[in-house]
Amino acid sequence: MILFCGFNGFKQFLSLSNNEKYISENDVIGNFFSCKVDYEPSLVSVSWSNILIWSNKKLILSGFVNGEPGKSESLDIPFKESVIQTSCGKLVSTIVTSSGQVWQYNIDSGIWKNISNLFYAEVLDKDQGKIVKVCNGGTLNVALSDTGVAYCIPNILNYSGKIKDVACGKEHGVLLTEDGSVLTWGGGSRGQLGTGDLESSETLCEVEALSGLRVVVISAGGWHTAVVTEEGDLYTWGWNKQGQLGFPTIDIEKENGVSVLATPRPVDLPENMLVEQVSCGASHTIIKLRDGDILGCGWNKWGQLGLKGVQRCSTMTKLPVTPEASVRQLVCGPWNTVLLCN
Amino acid sequence: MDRKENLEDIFISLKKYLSEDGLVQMSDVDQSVIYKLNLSHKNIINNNRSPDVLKDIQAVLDVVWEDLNTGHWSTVSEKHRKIYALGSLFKVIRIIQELLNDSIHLNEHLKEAIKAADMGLLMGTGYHQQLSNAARMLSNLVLNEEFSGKSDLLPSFSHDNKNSDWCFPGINGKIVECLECPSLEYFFKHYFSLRVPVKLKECISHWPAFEKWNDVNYLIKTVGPRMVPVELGSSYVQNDWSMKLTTFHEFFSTYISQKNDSVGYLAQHQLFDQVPELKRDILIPEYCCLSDSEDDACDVDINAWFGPAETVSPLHFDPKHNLLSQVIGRKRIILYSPEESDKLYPHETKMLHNTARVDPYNPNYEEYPEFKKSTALECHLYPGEMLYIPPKWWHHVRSLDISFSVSFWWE
Repeated sequence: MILFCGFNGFKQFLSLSNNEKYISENDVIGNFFSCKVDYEPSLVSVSWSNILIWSNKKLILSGFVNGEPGKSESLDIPFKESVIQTSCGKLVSTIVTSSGQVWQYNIDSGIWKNISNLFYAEVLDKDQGKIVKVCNGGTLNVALSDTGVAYCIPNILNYSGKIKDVACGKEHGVLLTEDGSVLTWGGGSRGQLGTGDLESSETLCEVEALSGLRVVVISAGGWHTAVVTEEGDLYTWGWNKQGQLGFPTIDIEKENGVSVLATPRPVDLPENMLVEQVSCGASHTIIKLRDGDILGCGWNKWGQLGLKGVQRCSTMTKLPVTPEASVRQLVCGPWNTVLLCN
Repeated sequence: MDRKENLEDIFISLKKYLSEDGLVQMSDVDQSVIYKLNLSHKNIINNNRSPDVLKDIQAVLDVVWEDLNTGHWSTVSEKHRKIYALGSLFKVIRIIQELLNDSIHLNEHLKEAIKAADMGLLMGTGYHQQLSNAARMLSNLVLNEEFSGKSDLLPSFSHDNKNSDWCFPGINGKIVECLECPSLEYFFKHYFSLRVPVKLKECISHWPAFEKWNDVNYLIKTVGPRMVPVELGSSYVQNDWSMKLTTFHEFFSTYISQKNDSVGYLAQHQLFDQVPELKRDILIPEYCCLSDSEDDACDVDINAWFGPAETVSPLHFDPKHNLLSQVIGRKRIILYSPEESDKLYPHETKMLHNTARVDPYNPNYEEYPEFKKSTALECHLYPGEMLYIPPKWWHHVRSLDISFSVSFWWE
């Protein structure tokens, strides 16, 4: 089963809803819509106007396709291997295959391009392995290999240890190292690098405020970053314009409000709430607790949080998802939220 | 003429802009955005009654706003700014179109339309005349309703502490020279080319602004419903500093016409481009045409600085020539020559490299020992006076009263 909410301005959710009338008529899905689909999508990625699904050896692009909204198309794929990761971007989508090949699909022209030669080019003293993950950000794209080498495409990011995960926002990148520390680079004007100031950096910066903590999950929003520690705590930093950090915005609380947070801060949750996963949209944040509950904060103007009647929410709020849903994975698009269930 | 007729006239004059433009074509941008923009265009032309029309326009504005906020402002693509301006114009026209069908909550919607036009002017590029015409016409409509017969506004500005003897803690500098309307040649030879600060009297006293702006009602009438950027907090180097967009009227009633513990400052804003009517009240001083080289005509950035007493611009320098012209209230300016830079401990970060860490009002010689050796100039600026601040000269500016200054920057 799949649950979703948020921006549907190009009827991109039709492919996940068996062409339900409700979905074809509404630009905003304001509460979680649950749907059993004929096919079980194994990979879902979301852009502003499209959804890309990998399911049963088919790659399905839906939303704004061939110059029209409400379309769904099974793409002709120029490779035979199965897909292990997808990233649906604004102008291009990127696909990683099981053999580590990286393909880019131009949504406007429908042209495929193998960009694997952007990787593996530099000679390194370590095994570059094969690419397992690619993320399309706004001004940068990042990738990760199975031997822990990270790229800000096309350059290798210079780090002596192994990288476990990568994420990127509109203009910043985030790395999770094997020993649980967090590195950032890129634009920092909204505090998204977590280095204590608003400077940008072309080189990797360690988020020192997190030293001593073992981070296990990272996620990057448009201009914010959220991480989960081994203990199940959630830390956020960056832009809080819509309350996406889980702290009151300045127009709600003049004295204690947060507009920008340049240093990570733990989000206050009741003691028994331990966080397992986090995923960020452009200006919202969704978490899954170990007990299965789904919470969210930030922008809700386009239904991103699935909450009725609020434009935004600046404290972590339980979202109307039944525990029976048994959510497996959180996938936030820029303006929407998709929950993959067991 | 009643307001409905007025609205119809405004709608007709704005709708002309649409048909002239035709459909939008742009490459290298997300085509889904262009699709929504063109769809909105068509729906307005066809007077489609669906509430989704405004939603589509809003989605375009919201998603392009994200692009405008990605990367440094100087690197934001012209195309995105253009889409934002055009989307804003569509939003203005659509709001009026909806009002013609149903004029409930008229004033609120008019304000929303003015806000949309101003956002397009402030964040977008292109369609300047269309947006500024729309904002002007709509402002007049709102104003007639809202401000007629209101008397809670101040009759005029008064100096808070007229008799202050300019006695301040911290640094006291040598008083800057003062000239009465010097000739261009004299000013060029002795000040401009030598980069020496000087106070100029009797150069701007003929501006209509002196009479007009002292009448609060005039300012409110001309700018009241327009959106302006306001800096909040004691100064831009402090943590509590932030910026917000608000209407001039709201800014005025919150931070100017009554005492407020927090300071709000309409600072460094090109108000005269946004509201061309106000530009008629000032004149660009002819000194602004001076240049070191013989090349092209003068290109002057005119900024408005309007705030209560006690606004502070911390010690910093700008790359251009500056004539800081005082219209309302008094300001005290402390100046240091560029040669003094090392003694002022500039911030090391890229963003604040033009701002000093020392505070002339509260010198900390223990932390900044060299500061003790620095030599300051100081200037007391009254209404009708201008201060010439040469490029790269450090200056700290503090207002003593409710103050309105106009700065002219040129290269």
